Amino acid sequence: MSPSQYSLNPLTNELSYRALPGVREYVVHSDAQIWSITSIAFLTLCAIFSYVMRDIVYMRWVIGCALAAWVWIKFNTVKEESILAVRNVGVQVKTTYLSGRSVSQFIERSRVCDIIIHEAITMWQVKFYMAIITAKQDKMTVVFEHLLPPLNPTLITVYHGARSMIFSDTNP
Amino acid sequence: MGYFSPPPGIYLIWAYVPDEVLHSLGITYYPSRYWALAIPVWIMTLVWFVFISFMSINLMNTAPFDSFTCITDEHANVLTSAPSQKDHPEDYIPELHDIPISVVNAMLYQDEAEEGLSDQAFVEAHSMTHDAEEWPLFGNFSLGS
Repeated sequence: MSPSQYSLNPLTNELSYRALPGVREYVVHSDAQIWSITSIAFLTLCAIFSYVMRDIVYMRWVIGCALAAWVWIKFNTVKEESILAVRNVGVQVKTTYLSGRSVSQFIERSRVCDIIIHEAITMWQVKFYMAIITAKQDKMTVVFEHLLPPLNPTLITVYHGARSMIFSDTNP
Repeated sequence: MGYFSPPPGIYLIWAYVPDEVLHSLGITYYPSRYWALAIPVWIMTLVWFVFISFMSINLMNTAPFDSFTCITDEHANVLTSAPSQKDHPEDYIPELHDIPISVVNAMLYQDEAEEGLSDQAFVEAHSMTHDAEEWPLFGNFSLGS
């Protein structure tokens, strides 16, 4: 099977998918970068401050903490999130950060009760999200938990695609 | 009209009338005038505290995205089969049910292949994809377990 058969095809400006017979993966990207304009501006500002206030000792600590906070934010920024559905095997939900680190969770087919789209309240708005109800677990598994893409077309496309892999016997 | 009940009047007299006048009237044992200012200020701050803490408690009690309380709780009367059509009077009002989340999803984000299904078949096709004992939404649901 040549590698080009499993390539990433874009659907919208944030959703893309990979497909094989019986396998489908949906990937939602965020447009976060390590060296964005605000990051470069912030770093130059830190450099200017550390030179201008080079005589004030405690400012080193302040600038050090600011730089450490910037590094921590960049390490915990989500680059992309994906859901991979394999027929009769299960579902994998993965989060990839800017540093290349990825956190994934696999749910086998026998434990998948349902894949739903639901809406819930965050601090100031109601957001749509997609969740997998798993057996023997006291909470659902939220897909695209950090990026929370919009309902249409992203969530609906992923909803139909993932359900056709998990809850049907024939190829769509 | 023209009648003021005692407490506000007493408060105003105590707060505004000068010391010498009250002493000349024989009233010497009363709380320090500091409290005439402190108590109203404290009440004003209490009002703002109540606004902010009310909103904060509401936000804290909001269930997170992955909790089952977003979908159902132990008081739900879940619909497991579509209501039967046998001999009811014309203005019969059926019993209230909660529709399970799978049926709601299927109705909202429906596949085109299912548009011709009857209500009964639709509910039965979507209400259970797993054994009842293992699916936490039917029967064995308990909050906080």
